[in-house]
Amino acid sequence: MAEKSVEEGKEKFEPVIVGFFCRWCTSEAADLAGTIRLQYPPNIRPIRVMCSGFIDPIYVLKAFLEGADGVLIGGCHLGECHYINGNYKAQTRVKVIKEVMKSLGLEEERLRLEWISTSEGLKFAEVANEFTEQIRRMGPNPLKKLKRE
Amino acid sequence: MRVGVFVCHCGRNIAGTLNIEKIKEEVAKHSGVVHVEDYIFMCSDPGQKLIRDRIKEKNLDAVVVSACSPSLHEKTFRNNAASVGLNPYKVEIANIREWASWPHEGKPEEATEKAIKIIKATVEKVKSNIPLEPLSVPVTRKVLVIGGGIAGIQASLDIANAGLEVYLVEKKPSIGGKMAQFSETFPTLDCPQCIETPKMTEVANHPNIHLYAYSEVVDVSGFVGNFKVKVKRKATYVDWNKCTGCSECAKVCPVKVSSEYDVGVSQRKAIYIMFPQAVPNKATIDPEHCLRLVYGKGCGLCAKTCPAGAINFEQKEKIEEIDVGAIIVATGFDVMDPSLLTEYGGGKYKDVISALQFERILAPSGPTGGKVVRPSDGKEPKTVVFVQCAGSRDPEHYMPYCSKVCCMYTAKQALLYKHAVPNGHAYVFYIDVRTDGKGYEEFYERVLREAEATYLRGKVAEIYKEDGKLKVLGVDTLTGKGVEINADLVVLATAAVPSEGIKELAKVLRIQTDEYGWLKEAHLKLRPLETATSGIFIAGAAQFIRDITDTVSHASGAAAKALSLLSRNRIEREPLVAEVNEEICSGCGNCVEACTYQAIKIDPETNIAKINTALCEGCGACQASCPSAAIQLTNSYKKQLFEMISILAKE
Amino acid sequence: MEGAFLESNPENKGNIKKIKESVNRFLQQLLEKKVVEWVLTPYINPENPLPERRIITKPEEAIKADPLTPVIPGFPMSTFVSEITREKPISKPLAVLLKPCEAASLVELVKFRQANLDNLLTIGVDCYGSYHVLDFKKMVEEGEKPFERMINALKNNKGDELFRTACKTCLKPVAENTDLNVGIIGVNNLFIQANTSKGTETLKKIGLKIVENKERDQKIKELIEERGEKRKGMFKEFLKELHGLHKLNKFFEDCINCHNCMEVCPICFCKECFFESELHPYVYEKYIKFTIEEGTIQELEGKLQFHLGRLIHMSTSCVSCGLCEQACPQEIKLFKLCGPVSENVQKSFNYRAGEKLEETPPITTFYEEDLGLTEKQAE
Repeated sequence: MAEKSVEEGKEKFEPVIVGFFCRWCTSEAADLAGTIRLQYPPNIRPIRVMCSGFIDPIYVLKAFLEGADGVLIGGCHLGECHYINGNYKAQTRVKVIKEVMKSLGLEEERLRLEWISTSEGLKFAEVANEFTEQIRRMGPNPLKKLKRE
Repeated sequence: MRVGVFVCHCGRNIAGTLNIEKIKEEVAKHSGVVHVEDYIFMCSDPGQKLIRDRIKEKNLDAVVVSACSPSLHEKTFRNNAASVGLNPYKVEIANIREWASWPHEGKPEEATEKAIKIIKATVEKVKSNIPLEPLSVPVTRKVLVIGGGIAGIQASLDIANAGLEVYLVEKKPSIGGKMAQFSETFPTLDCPQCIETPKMTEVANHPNIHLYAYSEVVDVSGFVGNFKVKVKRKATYVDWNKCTGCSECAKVCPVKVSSEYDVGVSQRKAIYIMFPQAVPNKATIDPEHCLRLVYGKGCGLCAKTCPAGAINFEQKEKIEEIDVGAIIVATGFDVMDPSLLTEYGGGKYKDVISALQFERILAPSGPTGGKVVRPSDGKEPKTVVFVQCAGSRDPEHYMPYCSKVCCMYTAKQALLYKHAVPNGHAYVFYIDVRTDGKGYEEFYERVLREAEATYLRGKVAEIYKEDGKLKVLGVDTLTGKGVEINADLVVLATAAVPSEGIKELAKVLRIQTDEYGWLKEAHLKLRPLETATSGIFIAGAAQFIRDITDTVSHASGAAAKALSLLSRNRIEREPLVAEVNEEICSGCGNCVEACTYQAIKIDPETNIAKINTALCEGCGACQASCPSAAIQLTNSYKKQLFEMISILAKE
Repeated sequence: MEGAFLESNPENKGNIKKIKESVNRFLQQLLEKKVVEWVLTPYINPENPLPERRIITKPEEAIKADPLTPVIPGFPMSTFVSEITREKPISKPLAVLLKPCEAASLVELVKFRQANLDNLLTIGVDCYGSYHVLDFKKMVEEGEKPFERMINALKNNKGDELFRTACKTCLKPVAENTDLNVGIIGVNNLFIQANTSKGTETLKKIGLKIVENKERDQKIKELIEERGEKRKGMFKEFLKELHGLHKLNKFFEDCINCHNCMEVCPICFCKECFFESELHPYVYEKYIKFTIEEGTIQELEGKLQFHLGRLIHMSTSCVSCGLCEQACPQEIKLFKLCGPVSENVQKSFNYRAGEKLEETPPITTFYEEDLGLTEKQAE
């Protein structure tokens, strides 16, 4: 980023968060958040996918390995999936990744799953705010440091 | 690859925050991008012409339009490109308005960076998109209508009159629905027998309508244009081909059961015809109460009496399969059981009844012949208290929503009561009186004048019995004083609720319901007649409680939607479906399990996954379940996702 | 459990040679009595201390069968069964001898349609522990007899420090889901345990007397309990050693990306591994591109992507055979990774790979309930 805010003389860490948002709910919620001018940090870099059930766990792994500090997956609320139960598939897959990350001390909190429906622009902005702050507190993806060493 | 990127200013909506020059400079450096251009309104005619001209001049083979959300103008820009011969699937939208300029107004530099990333990722995607043609599939030009209330009747007639075949499935023995139970209807005071019965008969006699009464939809497979539906035709134990509807059977039947049609105000027999104007006018045996069916022997009086020999205790339910191209769900509503309202003595006191029960008491053709009497002792009530919003607008205890029709029917009931009992007096407790319809306010004014009803603004706190009298305790919030009324009869305008069994039916249909169970529309404002599942429409109160006027309009709207869908012999579908790489597929079947639409099968000969593209909805759940990238979603290839992630995840 | 003792002569007690003979005699009978036409079994290889896998068809060939030998040479037997039966069920009745972990992985392969049990008589072979192929070879070359060493360890109930880590922590010393088990644990004489009606029929056809055996049940239970305690402690240690990206990176420092661990894994059945496909970005051009752009080859990400990606793919069905570790030419202790991680993953889904044929693996079972993974509930 061109300019970094300075806090207590220390350069503030700006996390990179990759978002995978289903096109029917969370992408629409993100649209709504924008339309009503809710402000949230620009750290989330979104990808619009067909369904949260589309997200191959390898995409999440890929994002972390490419240096993402956090990954946010957004789908329709359970029972409201446009494809009936794609979000149930998503949560099963997220659970596998989270268990693997947890077992290996890979900070599973860096991966977050949220159900955000079309009308929940406010929730989208809140999640974006909170998650960005959470990742900021956690610091950079340790991979980055490892690569510099 | 020759990609052109077009950056829209959207007036100041985008250009006011984002640094357009910086975006152009950075995106131009990206591999494959041969042209970058900006314009104030890309979606305007000159904007679109600009894109068309550049596609030709620069010989572009892919385009990224960096503008607003794809849900707004994706189609516009794709059609635009197609008009100059560029395949529409080689056009992608980078959403830099809703996702960059608008939510980050105070951070122009970061927002610009984010927009650049989004555009670059979209360029990577479009580079690997393959050109596609829409899939064309034949359609079955028949419609299934579920529910035979006024909504289902109207939708069926509209479609049948347009020349298409309709299957109308009703779970009760007769069509007619709630409307057939009403006394007279606001604001015109038409009696439903006069205005609904002719439509019911028209349904029964229409050559294009197959009426399946006493039947239920148990399974739906397939997709828009080609649904396969299984209908359970429940056993009536009466051969309807022979039954003449003479009702001799009911006369001799020894078993009395509380009448559903009269909401418990009267009794029916174990063999019965729902009401005199029932369509079809055929008898049905209630297997839970018929002595012969419960005990397996004995009685059989109806069989002995029936002049047509129509009784058949051996009859079995059967499943019929029908093919349709569209489905209209018109399952209506129910009213909240008054016994849930314990503070009002619902279910406890005989003279605390629901408004629907009062409709039956008021109905000239009802069990009392239109004579207003109270259930406990058959006496004429001199003081009637109407309680509005009983279970509605009460988020703490019951339903938070307004049940919409109660203000008007309560006014109507007060008037009809006054007509029947001229020396009686009606009190109405209300929160607000809502009269939002043509002639409604005028009707309400008429009631105030003609019925001399006392309208009290406030909620009833409690109803209890003292010295054999019903005491209604409430507060008149306009005067701030407590009110105590000795009532002979209390009528609760109980909340409208989604019809029983709707959640199960929604599962069968693969459509959604909201938190209460009302059917969920595709878009509340712009697509209120459609569900998110294409080819399935909603008519009437199944979506949310509405009055007859609105229900009929809504139903005709749904019929028009179905007709427009089936106006052609073939329909076009998105070609974004799954595809299998047969070289890699190991036939593990993970995708088969992941597919909600049964679109994938493992070929027993080759042990390789095979896709029925007609069934594929393009959700991509299969590709996420495949461990080896053997199954992928067209134009959402893993390679594309990897490239996009790679760009976005980097600092 | 029920089954049949193969030797009723008490003099045979503890006679190691007799155990092997008894098994082979049993296999011979299977062929003689035409219960099966083929037997797939580990078999003595005159050229190599390690046994080979062979399908025998003649009763007299059974003399050289070696199913009890405490080693898994390279690929697991389940992979062979998959190769034979994946395309179509085998045409003639075949008996296959499987160590418990091999039997468990066969169950998983059947679930993924990579093996077909039709016409198969599955015979599990009790496994008290097996040796790393290199240790096994060294022992033989130095004149020690691995089978006797294993049997002695079993008799003294002491375990063996030289057993593979996966074996020391193994909770499946006796196969589940097989028709028959060749029992050496908790018995004095060789005991053929029947688990299915097909198994019982087989014993009857051979003319064996079927008896109840509660003692063996009890002994097996005790062994598993004892192992369970040990496993818990060891797995905890393993995960500590791997905690965090830095340690994980250190762990894979010597990895040469040969993918032997994947090749030998019974669960990795894909025709083409995703991480070796053209999608895998760490191909030549990418190396060059990264080197130019970032000044370093992305070796670290490549390794992590492979190993973590593989964990995500197979941990739900891992049967803890530890063959990945044995296959690693760099002696990376891979079981420390896949053993405990897979156990955690499977526990979280209340699933145990290889246990029940009718249980569907977590990744193809989509739980229609809220798994409670989201942070923020809707207001």
